[in-house]
Amino acid sequence: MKIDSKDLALMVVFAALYAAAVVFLTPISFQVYQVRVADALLPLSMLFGMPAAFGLSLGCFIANVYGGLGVVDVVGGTVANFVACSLAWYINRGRSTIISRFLGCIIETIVITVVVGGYLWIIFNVAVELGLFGVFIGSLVAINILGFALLESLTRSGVSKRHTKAMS
Amino acid sequence: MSFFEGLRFRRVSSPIHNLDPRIKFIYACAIFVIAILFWEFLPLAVLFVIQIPFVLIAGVKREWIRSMRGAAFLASIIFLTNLIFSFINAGYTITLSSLEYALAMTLRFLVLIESFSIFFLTTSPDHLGLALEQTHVPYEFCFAFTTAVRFVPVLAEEAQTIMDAQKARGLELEKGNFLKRIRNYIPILIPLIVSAIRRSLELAEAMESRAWGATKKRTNLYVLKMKRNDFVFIAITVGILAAAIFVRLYVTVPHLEIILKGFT
Repeated sequence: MKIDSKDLALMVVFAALYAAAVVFLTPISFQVYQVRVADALLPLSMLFGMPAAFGLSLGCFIANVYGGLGVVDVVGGTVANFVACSLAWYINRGRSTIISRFLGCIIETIVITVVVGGYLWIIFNVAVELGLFGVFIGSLVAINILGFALLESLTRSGVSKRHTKAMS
Repeated sequence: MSFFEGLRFRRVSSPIHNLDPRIKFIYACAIFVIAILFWEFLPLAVLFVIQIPFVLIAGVKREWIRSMRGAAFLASIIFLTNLIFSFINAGYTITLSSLEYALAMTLRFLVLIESFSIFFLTTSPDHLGLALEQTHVPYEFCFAFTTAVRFVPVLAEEAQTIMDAQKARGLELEKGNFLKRIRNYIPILIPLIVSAIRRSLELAEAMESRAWGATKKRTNLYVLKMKRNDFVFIAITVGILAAAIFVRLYVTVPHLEIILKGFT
């Protein structure tokens, strides 16, 4: 596989951004639910494509490994991020409208809920309803509210277009 | 700032730190498999205890305790949900076996955390990148991994600067209701993303100017080689794994109930 240096640099920066955001922007807690602010970066894969998807899953790996936050999430979280980002990007490749972008956000939420809730259930026997619901609320707020707002404002400002233009 | 301690390069020397990262990874995976094999309390407790000497040899007790403390929250959730659901399923009584099962699941979780902590706490990012490269992972990914690790403190510092700047302009992060607090993150995240993208362009230019990826065959300053200690460690791992499979197949693991009865 050949990746050019522009994509690789974007991937590196997204990974570092996600990892820094996981630890630095402390989760907002709302009663028992934790909202991981870093997850708001996930919808950006629809704007920046596969490098962002790779980067965000790598970032999840780094954050879980060296963050001292518990290494439970290393495999599951990384896979969840990658699948969610690439699916959302796949839906939005070619032309993307506000509706398809919102749909992408919803799909990301669902994928993350199913994967993370699923392994909590299979490996540690956490009740499936509780696991799914807890993860669902957290990622719904992070991805569909904060992440979607972020994605829309970045799309309108044309950041990614300028990025591609600067490189060509 | 505890997170960035983990990312800072430190040259620590201990028998465990000097082991080949690949061997440590095999060890962590073996422990993972064993932990999945058992659902009784006793073998999982044994598995938990036999790893403690490794932590002590590596001299990472303080970091290890910190990661255990980080896991405590999820561990208690696992314990409580297991207990509550078996409590409901058993007709609103707590039996000793359901208590044992909940404890075993919690312990399984802690064993997993422990084994992977030993791996990650004693392997520096550069070492891990080297190991990835020498297991023939495409070089692009190894490079991305090590560079991303280096970039995390840089971006975190930038996030701090942006946060301070926005606070100086009157952004109140901790105020307001739930939705308001969520929305407060937008003025922080957008400058952060834009500057990160600018940084990625600079990085790409730097890579291009140094002819990144021009040569197919790369050489390394350090080459990982298996040493005597590596073979000892892998022998221990295989021993633990074999013992666990033997116990699983041929020995009936005593339940907590029976053991407690033996005492009284």
